[in-house]
Order: sequence, then structure tokens, then C-alpha cells
Amino acid sequence: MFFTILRKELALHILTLRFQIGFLVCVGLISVIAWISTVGFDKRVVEHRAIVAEAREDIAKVEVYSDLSCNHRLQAHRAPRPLAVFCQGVEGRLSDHFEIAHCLAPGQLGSMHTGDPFARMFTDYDVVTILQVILSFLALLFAYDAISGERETGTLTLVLANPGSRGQLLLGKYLGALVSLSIPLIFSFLVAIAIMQSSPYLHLSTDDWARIGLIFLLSLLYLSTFLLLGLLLSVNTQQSVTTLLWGTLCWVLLVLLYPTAVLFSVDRMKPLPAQDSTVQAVEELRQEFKREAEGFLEQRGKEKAWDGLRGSRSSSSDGVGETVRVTPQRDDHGVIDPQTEEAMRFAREFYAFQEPLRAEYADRIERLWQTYVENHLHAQAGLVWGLLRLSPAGLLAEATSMAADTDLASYQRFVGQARRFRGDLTRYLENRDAFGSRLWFTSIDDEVEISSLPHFAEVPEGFAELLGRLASRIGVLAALNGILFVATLSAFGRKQII
Amino acid sequence: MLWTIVRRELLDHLISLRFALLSILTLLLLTANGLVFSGEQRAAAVSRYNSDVRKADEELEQRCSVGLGHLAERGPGNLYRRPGRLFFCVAGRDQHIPSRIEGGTHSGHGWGGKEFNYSWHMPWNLNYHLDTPAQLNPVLPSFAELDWSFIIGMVASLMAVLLTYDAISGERQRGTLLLMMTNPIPRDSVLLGKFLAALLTVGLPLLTGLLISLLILHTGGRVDLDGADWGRLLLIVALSLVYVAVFVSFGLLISTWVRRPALGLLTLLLIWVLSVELIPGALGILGMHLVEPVTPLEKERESRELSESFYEKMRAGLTDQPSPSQAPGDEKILADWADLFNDFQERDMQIKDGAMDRQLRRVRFARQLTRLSPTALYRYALEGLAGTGFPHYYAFVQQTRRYRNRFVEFVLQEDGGDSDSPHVYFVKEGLSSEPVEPHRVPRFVDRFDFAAGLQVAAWDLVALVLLAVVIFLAAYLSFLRCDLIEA
Repeated sequence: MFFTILRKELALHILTLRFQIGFLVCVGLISVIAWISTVGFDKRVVEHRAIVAEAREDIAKVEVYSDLSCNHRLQAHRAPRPLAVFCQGVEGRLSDHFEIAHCLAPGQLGSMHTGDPFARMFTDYDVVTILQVILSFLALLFAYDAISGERETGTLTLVLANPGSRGQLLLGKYLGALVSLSIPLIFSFLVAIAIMQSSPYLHLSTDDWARIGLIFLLSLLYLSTFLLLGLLLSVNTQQSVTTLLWGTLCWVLLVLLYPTAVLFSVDRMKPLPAQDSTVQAVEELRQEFKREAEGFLEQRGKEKAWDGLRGSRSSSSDGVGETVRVTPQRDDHGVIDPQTEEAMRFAREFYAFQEPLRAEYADRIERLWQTYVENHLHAQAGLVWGLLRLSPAGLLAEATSMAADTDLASYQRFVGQARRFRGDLTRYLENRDAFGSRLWFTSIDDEVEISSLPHFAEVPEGFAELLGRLASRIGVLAALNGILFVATLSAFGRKQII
Repeated sequence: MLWTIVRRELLDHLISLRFALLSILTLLLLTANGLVFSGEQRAAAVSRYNSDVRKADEELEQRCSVGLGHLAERGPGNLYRRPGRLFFCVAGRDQHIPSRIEGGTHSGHGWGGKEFNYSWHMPWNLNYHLDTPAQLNPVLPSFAELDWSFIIGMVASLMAVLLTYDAISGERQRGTLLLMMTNPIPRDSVLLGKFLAALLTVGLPLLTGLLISLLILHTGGRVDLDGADWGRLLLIVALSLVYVAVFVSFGLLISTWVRRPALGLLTLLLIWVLSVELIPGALGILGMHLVEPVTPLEKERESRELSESFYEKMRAGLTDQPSPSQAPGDEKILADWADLFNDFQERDMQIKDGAMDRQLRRVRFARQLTRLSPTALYRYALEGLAGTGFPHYYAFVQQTRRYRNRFVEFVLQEDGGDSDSPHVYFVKEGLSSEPVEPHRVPRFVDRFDFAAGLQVAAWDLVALVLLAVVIFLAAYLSFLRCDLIEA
């Protein structure tokens, strides 16, 4: 009996015009959006590879240790995420490449300099957005006349005259609609994946496939929520048109209005404070560092770190303090004159003092920026997502961006790794006594072992870890489904059928 | 007779649940609109604009006091875009669009050879500011703004659709259509009556909501409306009613076509979702994607090539002779340098303007695609009328370019008045070195008045009105020919 209902429902849905139109609109839009996102991904990969290659070449040019802090810095790269095609998240919004040096505070999470003043002219669209808008609406359309429609046409009594409980009928209708809905859903995924596969740069790993599976599961749960909402309304209303009215209202509120209202109000009511005070505090730290370094010189009775040097000297400064590189003048036998040797001895002493201090001040500056970012940018985003979670649409957007590895937490993981990498570099330099060595500023008698330099490799999030983070979201969606189903069932059990 | 129908329909609508729900929604949203937009941000934007303009003025005066040549070389300084006036009608993502264009030299260069010695600034140009403002949180998704255009675009149109989807088909199903027609009423008054009633029903909560929103904004002290603004507001309200009329007509048209009201509602909701959400979003993104912008890397390469060719030309002959500052008054040298600078400036302008033009073309193309949707048409017309968003920015860019010409003309004219000047344009030693009186220098003021807005919005306005008329006529014609009873 149950399967008969399921089969009947399935056949009925697939033959309707709304199914066909919904299917076409959905698959059509998804092909367009998936294509755009894939091309965007390709561009990011090309750029990423160019930057990585350039960075590698650059590191090969390192001659002295101080090069690592100014001319040829190490870099940390975050690879473009292929699943951004499904869910854009913060992908492409933030800087994916950081220069890493002991004297430089990375992780200042600012907006990326896109060079595109109109980047935000239109709302972002990705595959999940389309599913979120169109298929949820289709779910409502499938469900709205499930019970009220049959009651109207009088077939409900006839169906229930057959052996088979009301529960079975409801379950059959629910599953029939869910299976019919999963047809456009599966097709959308297939189309999106086919378009992704056509890109020469995009390769899906096993992990990615598992993640796509999760996105599919989440989308299905999301659609099922709207299906059950439609069924609940359908049971509780007399006319199918009334069901549709209520359903549309709920849908407009949950999917279109609420997310916009939340984002907009948070942006306006809790605007980001200016960065002025942080910029000022950073500047103060810089000055403090300068005073400390000058204090050391004063104590030794010197005016400059370099007194009596014969040769050339170049310096560059950004981050904290400045980096000096020297080429001492040598005679025909390659011997440096004693005065310069003397100058170098003092300079080494000075740098052995100054450089660890620089690293420390860079740490402090970094902490300042981190506080700003976490207390304002992240707090604002946290508030937004916390409020968005109240709508299934927001929940889906959040959970899929987690599954696609494009959410803020994923980016933060990268920043954390870049930060630790900087610690590794500082330790590496300290262990080799690089700060006080001749090799710090001149390569006349030694050279840097490039192969032994620390190397940044992004550690991706493990699947188990992801499941741990996602579990609560999946749980909430599943619980929502359960509640809606039980509510529908109990309402249907009590309802008059004619 | 028409009014009997209007009255009856109106009463029908007013006591319906859908009217109550959507009215509450409209009123809530418009109240929220008033509350949110009377926040601090607007005041902050205005005071930032004022202080920026003041600072730019001071710098300009400082340059004037040095001399005309200096002023001509360094340029007029930063040019600022005024915050849009009727921002609460349609915010137009103003916050996400650059607020200034730098009219200054981008780099200073000094170059010393053995005998040759000269220091100069590259000739000034309009440098378009291309990064997103700092107040924008990069980790938030981009979103629509809760302005009038969004609320009316979404909720009022939905209300129009929900009120009219069964206007004809419902009556036909119930059999009352035939009864009504047995009275001596022409068919057109029936349709017109239904049309007017639906328009009034939507208009009632809408106008109330708009008044509430204005009242909140006014008491919040965040709006200072002048006469022209009231004119704009009236036009905006009228346009909103035209937009609602489009959807009312759509509803009537579909409801005469379809047999079952439910099917009519389905069709209308599909049209509505496409118009409100999918076409403006997806086609906009597609349009932005189809026109390639100049990438920052490309621009950087072009600028580098330009500056390399500049130095090449300079080394090819100019560094063998004394520089303009070493041999003041030598016309041959001045002319050589003026050629070099003029070439550079022209090419520099082409590169920068070209990159900006491509960006502008890209957005215009994307907007053109989205004009398939009445909601987008309505929003764009509103942007023009309210003086916000892209139309304003576009006009701003054009204004800065006109100002550039005006500034150059001023320099030439001023230089012509000084008989001691060698009159060689453009190298700073070739121009007058007399200080300039600051009040004589033309100042840049961003203006986007009612007439300019109307001109920008004209096509969208006309298109929207035409759309309303055409759809209403289609509904009218199909109603004249439709069956009165279910077959």
C-alpha cells in the first residue's frame, strides 16, 4: 500500500508542469552559475600558481639571513578551494598569500585589494544559493496540495478507504515528493560537477567527493524541511490555494526577507569601528621599539649601528624596524680591512640584541590586529551567522560553506598556520644564531642553506574534524524535520477528512 | 457602476487575511527602514565628506600659494563624491562604491646625472580609487539593502500578485462572474474596477508605511529635505505605484488566462521570483562575468611599460642637455620636456580612463541584462531619481573628467595673463611662477541634481510605464474575449 502511494505520487509530480518548469529553471541557472564560478576558480588557480612559483624563485635568491626579513621573504599560501563553486563563503574575499618574516605581523585580516570597485554591485550567487531559492520553492509547490488538494477533489476519502493507515499515506506522500525533488537536486549536482570537471585546473580529491556528499545531504535535509512545512500547512488548511498563500509567505520570510534584514541591520546598527585607534597603538609600539633599539646604542656610546663601515649598505623598512644589508669593501686578497671588521663586530652585537626584540614587537603588533579583527570583524560575522541560523536558509548556507571549506573558520585555520609558521621561522633563525652572525648581513664567507629553511604547507581540515563541526548543524536540521513530521502526523490524525 | 465594483472589491480585499498579513509586513519593514537609516552612519558619511572636501581645499590653496606651475604639475587634489541624498529610498550600495577620485600626481621622481640635474613630479591625472572602503566587513556575504526599493520591490509586488491571482478565475470557478455580467456593466469596468481596487489596496499600507518611514527619519534629524527632494519623493511614490500596477496587471492577465486559481498563483509566483530575485541576481553576475575587467596585474604592467618608455625617451636626448631648472627660459629645452610630459600624461590618461571605462561598461552591461526584470527597472529608475548608487557614480566620473578639462583650461588662461611666463605647456618652468589667487581656481563640486537624475532614469521610467500599460492592455483584451463560465 505504502509503495503504491509512493509510486503514484512520484509519477504525479514528475508529470506536472511545475516540476518541469522548476527543473528547467533550476538546472539552467545552475549551469550558468557553476560555469561562472568554475571560471572564477580557474582564474584564482592560475594566479595562485604564478604567485607560488614567483615566491619559490624569490627564495632561491636568498643570500644572507636578513634577506628573509626584507628582500626575499618566505610566504604562506592558501590554495583556492574547488568547492567554492558550490558555496562561495569567504573565498576570494580575503588575502590568500602572506609574506612571513620574523619582523612582520601577518594575519592582518583586511579586505583583499581586488581592483574591482564594483565587486559587490550584485549579490553573490553560487550553486547552493540557487538550490536554496528555487528548490525550496519547488518543495513547497509539491507539498501545498498534497492533503488539502485531495480533500478538495474528494479523493482523500477514497484513498483512506483502502487498507493503509493515515501515517502510511502521509509518509508515502512525503517520500514521493522528496524523491521527486531529489531528481532536480541530483541533476543540479551532476551538472555542476560536470562543469567543474571540464576545467583543466579543477581536480576533485576523495575528500572533496565526501564533502560534496555532505553538501548533498545538507541540501536534501533543507528541502525536506520545506516539504514538511508545506505538508503541515496543507493538513491544516481547507483549500489548497490557502496553503499556497501561507507557504509562499513563510518561504518569502525565511528565504528572502529574513537573511537580508539580518545582514543589513547588523551592518547598519553595529557598524565596524574605525581602525584609527589600532593604527595609533601600532604606531606607538613601533616608536617604543625604536626607542629601545636607540637605548642600546646609547648605552654603548654609539650613534649608529654602523660606524666606520667601508662598503655599501642598503636598508629597507616595513613591519617593525629596518633591515640592513651590507657589502663590506675588500682588498684584492678578499680581506676586509680591520676598521670594517671592528664595525661589523659591534653591528653583530647590536643585531643579536635588536632582532629578537623586533620579533617580539611584531608579535605584539600582531596581537593588536588580531584583537581588532576578532572583536569587530569576527564578532560582527558571528552575530550575523548566529541570527541567520534561525532560518533554515541561513543554516544551510553556513553548513555548506563549512563543508565546502570556504567558511571563516577554515580561513582562520590558515591564518593560524601562517602564524605558527612565522614562529617556526623565528625559532629557526634563533637556533642558528642567525641574528648575531656575519651571515645576517653579508655572504662573504658563508651562505644560507636554502634547503633547510622551514617550509609552509597548509594542513587541510580532516574529514572527521569537519563532521564534528557539522554534526550540530545536521542535528538541528534533522530535528527540525522530525518535529515538523510529527506535528504533521498528529494534525493529520485528528483532522476531518471531508 | 465602476465605483460599486471598486468598493466591493476593496472591501473584499481589506477584510482578507492576506491583506492583513502583508500590510503588517510592509509596515514593519518600512518602520525598520526608518529606524535603521536614521542611525549614525549617514551623519558620519556626510561629515566625512565635508571634512574631506575641506582638507582638499586647504591643500589646493597651499599649492596655489606656491605658483601656477606648481599647481599645474601637482593637480587639484582629491575629488570627492557627495553621499547620495535620498539614501533611504534606494541605498544603491553606495557604501560599496568608491567615494573619491584622486586628482594628483601619483609619484615624485628626481633624477641626477653628472651634469644634468632635475627633479619633477609626473604630470597629474585622475587616479580612480579601486579598493573597497575600510568600513566594509570582508567576511560578510554581500547583501541587499533594506531600502524602499527593496521593500516595495519585494513585498508590495508580492501583495499585488496575491490579491489578483484569482480575480477572474476565482469568480469564474465560483460562478459569480456570470452573475455579475448579467448586470448592465460593461466588461471593461469590471476589469478596471478590479485593477483600481487592487492598486488601492496595495497603495494604502504602502503609503502609510512610507509616511511612517519618513516621519521616523525626520524626527531622527537625519534627513534635510529641500523642495527638489520633495519633488523627487513624489515622483518616487508615483513610480512605486506604477511598479505595483505592473504586478496587478500581471495578476489580472494570468487570472483571465488560467482555469484554476491555484495554477494562476503558481505561474504568478514563478514570474515574481524570477523578477524579484533570480533575474537581478543571476543575470547581474553573468553580465559582470561576460565583460572582462582590466586586472590589477594588467594595469600595473601597462603603467610600468609607460614609465619605462618615459625614462627611455628622457635618456635618449634630454639628459645630455641642461634641465629646465638649470637653464630657465631656454625654449628648446622647455619644449622638449613639455613634449615628454604631455605624451606621458596623454598615455597615462588613456590607460587609467580606459580601465575605468571598461569597469563602467561592465556594470552597465550587467544592469542592461537585468533590465528584463521589472523589479530591476524599478530599482534603477529609483536610483536615478534618488541620486544614489551606480548612476550617481557614473555621473561623478564624467564630472571629474569635465573638471579635468576645466582645470587645464584655467591653467592655460591664467598663464596667458602673465607676460613673464614662457607659455610652454606643460612643464612647470614653462608656466607662470606667480602665486594663484585660490578663489579663481575652479573647484570641483559633485552635483547630481533632479534634472540629471531624471535624464538617467528616463528610459527606465518610460519602460516601466510602458510595461504597465502593455500588460494592462493585454489583460483587458484577453478579458474581453474570455469565457464567463467554466467549460
